[in-house]
Amino acid sequence: MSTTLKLPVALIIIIAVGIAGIGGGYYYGLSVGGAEATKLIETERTQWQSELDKKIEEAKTLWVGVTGLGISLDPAYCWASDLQQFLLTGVYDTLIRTRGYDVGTFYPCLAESWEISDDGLSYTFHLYKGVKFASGNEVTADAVAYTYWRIMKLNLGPAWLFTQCIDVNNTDSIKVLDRYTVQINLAERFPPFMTILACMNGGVMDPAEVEKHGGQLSEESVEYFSEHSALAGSGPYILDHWTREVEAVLIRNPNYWGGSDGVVPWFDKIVFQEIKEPADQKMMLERGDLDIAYGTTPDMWVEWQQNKKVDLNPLDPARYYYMGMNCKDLDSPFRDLKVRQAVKCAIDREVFLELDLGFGHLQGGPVVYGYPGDDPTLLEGPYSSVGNIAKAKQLMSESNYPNGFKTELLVSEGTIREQMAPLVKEQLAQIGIDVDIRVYASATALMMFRRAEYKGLAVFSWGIDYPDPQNLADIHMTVGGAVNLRVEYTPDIHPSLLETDELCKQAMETEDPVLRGELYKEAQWIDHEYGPWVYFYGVTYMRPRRHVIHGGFPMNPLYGWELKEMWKEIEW
Amino acid sequence: MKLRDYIIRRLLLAIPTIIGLTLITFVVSHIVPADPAILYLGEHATPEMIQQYRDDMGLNDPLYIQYLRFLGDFFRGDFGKSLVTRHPVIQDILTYLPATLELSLASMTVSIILGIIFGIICAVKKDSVIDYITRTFSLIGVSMPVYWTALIAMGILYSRLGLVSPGRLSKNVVPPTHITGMYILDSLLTGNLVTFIDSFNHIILPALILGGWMMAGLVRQTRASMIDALNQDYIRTARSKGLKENKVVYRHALRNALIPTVTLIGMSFGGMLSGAVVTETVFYWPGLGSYMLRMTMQVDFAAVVGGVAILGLCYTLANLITDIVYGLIDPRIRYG
Repeated sequence: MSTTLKLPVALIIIIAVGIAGIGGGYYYGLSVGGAEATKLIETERTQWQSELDKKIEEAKTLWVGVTGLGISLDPAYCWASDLQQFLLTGVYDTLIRTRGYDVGTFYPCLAESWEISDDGLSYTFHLYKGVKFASGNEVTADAVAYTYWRIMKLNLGPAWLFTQCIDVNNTDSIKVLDRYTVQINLAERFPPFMTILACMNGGVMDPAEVEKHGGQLSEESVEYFSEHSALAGSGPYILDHWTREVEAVLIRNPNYWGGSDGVVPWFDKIVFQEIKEPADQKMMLERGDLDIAYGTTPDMWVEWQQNKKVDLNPLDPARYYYMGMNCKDLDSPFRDLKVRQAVKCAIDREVFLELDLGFGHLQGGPVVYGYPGDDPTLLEGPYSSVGNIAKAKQLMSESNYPNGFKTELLVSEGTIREQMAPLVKEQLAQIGIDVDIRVYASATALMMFRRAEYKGLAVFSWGIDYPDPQNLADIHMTVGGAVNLRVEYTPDIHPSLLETDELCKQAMETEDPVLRGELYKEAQWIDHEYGPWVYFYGVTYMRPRRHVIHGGFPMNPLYGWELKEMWKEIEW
Repeated sequence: MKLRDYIIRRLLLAIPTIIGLTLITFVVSHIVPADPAILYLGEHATPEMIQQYRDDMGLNDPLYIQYLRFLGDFFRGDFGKSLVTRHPVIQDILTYLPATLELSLASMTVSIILGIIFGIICAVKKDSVIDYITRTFSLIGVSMPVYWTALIAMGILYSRLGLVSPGRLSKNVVPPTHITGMYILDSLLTGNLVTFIDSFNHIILPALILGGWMMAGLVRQTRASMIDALNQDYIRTARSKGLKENKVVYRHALRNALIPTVTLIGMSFGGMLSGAVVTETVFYWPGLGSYMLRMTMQVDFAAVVGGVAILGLCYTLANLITDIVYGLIDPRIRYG
């Protein structure tokens, strides 16, 4: 429009609006008087306001679909679940935090600063002053000490996270230096200690609230805090209730201090609904009844890849599948190095990954994708599977079992591992190993595996307990490693275990992630050649969320999203 | 024997039945080679931790001691403590049972009303079009797994058309004040109309799916019994007396034909409770079925035995009610 025309047009509009204001107006095409028009406009305004309020309220609630929330939401009783991390780190502040996959870098949370002694044994944390729990009580060094003693002395599932490096019988292990300074003295050097403090089990609780609900070491307090947080946390949310099998509801903490970053949460309420059926979660996400669906399956992820209304959000939770070769019995064929190497060569990992429709990363050693020590070149090592059937046959012919042998394979019922069993059978049949598949209920299979009460092979999975490669490497490659005990692989069978054991120990004598990574790589190459393991792949989970959900930094291996940084669009 | 004496005798007889049930469940669940301590304490638990846990939970005692302890507590109304939730089992059961009962009763109502009506119509209009259609649908109903029907129904009615939604209530509807735990009943008792309408809307589809499965059997049973009854001499006599057809069908034939149908209803109640596990899962209906399933997977002995005992009790009561109804339908039946 030219400048000459703009003025008259503007004048006409102003006059028209003025006349309408004086003489009445048009409302839905009907000419009405001034008072009536004002009334109608007011009514309309009220309706719109009410509609807007409703929409804002909807946008202030986050609906998360989950298949289950484990057995407890008490930081002293729950562990090893990314979902619980996601929920609980919104409730209980930890001393420090990690962000995304950068697990070696720590950020302030309750602790403003910290020092680690040169010998790596003493950790001193200086707390922010004036930080309040939801109860209004101040977060102090006493509260930190109280919380950590509670976890260790209750001696439930997660206690070992702390007791593996803290002497629970030494009162000086945790010292309150002043109201805002706490010192933790380790029994031995333990580089992953900071990552443990950053996990949900390091969430600090208000002692007054714990005492109100049964006391520090009482069964009653565990029962209560498994399903509520009362006012014991200092995080942005309060766990109002968890009705098992139904829902866990978080509500905004009115006393939230803003955290070290000063970010306040967007959501007033977050509801974790326990919806067992994945198909239901899919339908609910698509219809907008859920904002995030934690319990969906790979076939759904494939379908959603073309759906612009669903963001898939990959998460590598450091969980992987592996096969162990039991060396417990003196006549076990897997005591023979050539047999172990032949099995490694015969197993084609890529076929296994197809069971998860390719959502994952092939793995040549225990250190998973993205962690210091992860070495993809292991997949091309001399005992990797690619095109190695001929080599596998050759190795079998050189072993003490040139004509093959019969063995068994232990798997859990109803898991993807059950689907892996026929593949193992088929692939090992090519080198003359006749596998008899033994499927047991999960709890039974776990017990048999844990006690090494099975013959032959076992396919299981391992999920990391805290984001540090030590939790992956030690279990397989040290003499007393938790998983190594399940195949009873000892230095008598092959002295290489002493070498890997030593390298893993060296990796615990430095905090330098690069050096530790190199040591773990070296250990994995030895394990690749001699160890009793075949590593299949690490899973990638998708955590689909609706396109209207934003915020939260890239997902952490254990945390999911930081709840307070997420927000939802107002939908019209 | 009077009805009251009969009921008392049957209730007393239920006691050894329940004891037997708990014994079998207890033994079976405990001989399963699985250690709950390993599940709850995780991969890194030391043998000392496992030992302490087993001591705390009384799992180290001989099995018969554990059972006698359970039985003693059981008769005091204490079903023990759940290993998973750490609540008294009875508290958990009272939390989840109402949802299952609500769904089962709604499904029973649907199936009994529709099943008997369609059964009668099929018998009276034997070999007609409506008979064939109803029989076809009842055959499909009996043959199709509940979970499949439920998922298809959800896919069409919720996902495509948005006519229903999963769960017991809509997202923003507040549950009624707890009286019985059954939302429909509680909202009625408290005069909460919004919740009543919402909970009623939510139960329709699961009740139809679960009830439809039972209805299919009832239609077939009622039809067969009615056809048999309608061919009896006393029906011919009634007709020859000039009685109206409605009276012949409903007062003479139906009352006699209902006995096997009532038996089937009583027996189906148990199936309904167990069938609810699947329906509860698909319709996001958190009831005793899903609770028991979870506890079984997690080797929670106390919860499993307690849950089975309560379900057994429900089943026994359903059978007792069935026997009482026999007498009401057919006065010739005497309790003995």
